[in-house]
Amino acid sequence: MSTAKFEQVDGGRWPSGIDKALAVLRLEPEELEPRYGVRFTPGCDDLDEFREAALRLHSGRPVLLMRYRQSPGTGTMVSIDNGDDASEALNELRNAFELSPWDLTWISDEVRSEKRRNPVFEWLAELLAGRRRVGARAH
Amino acid sequence: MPISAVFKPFDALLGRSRHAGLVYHRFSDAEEADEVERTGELWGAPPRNIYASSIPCVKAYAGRLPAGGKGYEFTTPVQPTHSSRVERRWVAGAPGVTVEGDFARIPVTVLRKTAGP
Repeated sequence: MSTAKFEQVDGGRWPSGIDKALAVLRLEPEELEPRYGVRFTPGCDDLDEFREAALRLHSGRPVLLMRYRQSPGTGTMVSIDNGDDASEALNELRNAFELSPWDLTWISDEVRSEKRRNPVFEWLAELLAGRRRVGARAH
Repeated sequence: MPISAVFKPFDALLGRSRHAGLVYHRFSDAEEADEVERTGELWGAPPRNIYASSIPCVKAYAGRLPAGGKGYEFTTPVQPTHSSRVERRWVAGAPGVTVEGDFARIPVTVLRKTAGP
């Protein structure tokens, strides 16, 4: 028996008081609705009208799917709490929605900058910057 | 030929302004466009999503208005605090973002208006 990986909610608050963008899904709200069984509802703020769906992932993490009506970009924006860990949130989102890299058209710089802390990447960056030589050993 | 002239076509592609920083836009009626141009300020309330927020922020889209779009383009010396691929936010409390009542505000210069009467 499988465990639900997310549930849709009708209300709540961002723990930190505000959200931040995590990623953009390639699919539009009307394509996400039948695929994942989420329901988008209309809303508006002082920028534009939008459609949104508020979810809680299995860990309890709040996630918002949102599409501004006149946004110059395509797809559906995913937001998380401003204090949340972007890399962990993206991993859980990928797992919950079974997303492939193709399904995401944009990922927050916060996730990318965390990826750069990979030790192999840092070793290569130092090598390219001339601060390290291949075969050099510390004494 | 000045070196800036060489980069001018690229600036246009990137949505950069020769006046300052990057260009942003909002869709609006003529009244909002005129008011923002006159005051040199753009105001924003807290987001109004299912997950409630209590922190006000100024909101805009990045880049120039699309062809046929009614609204205005502006620039600001204040860096956005939150960015998605095309949406930008200036959240209250960040450097350069002031708060008045329930609103955040930033100084802006309107570069172009297309919202007619």
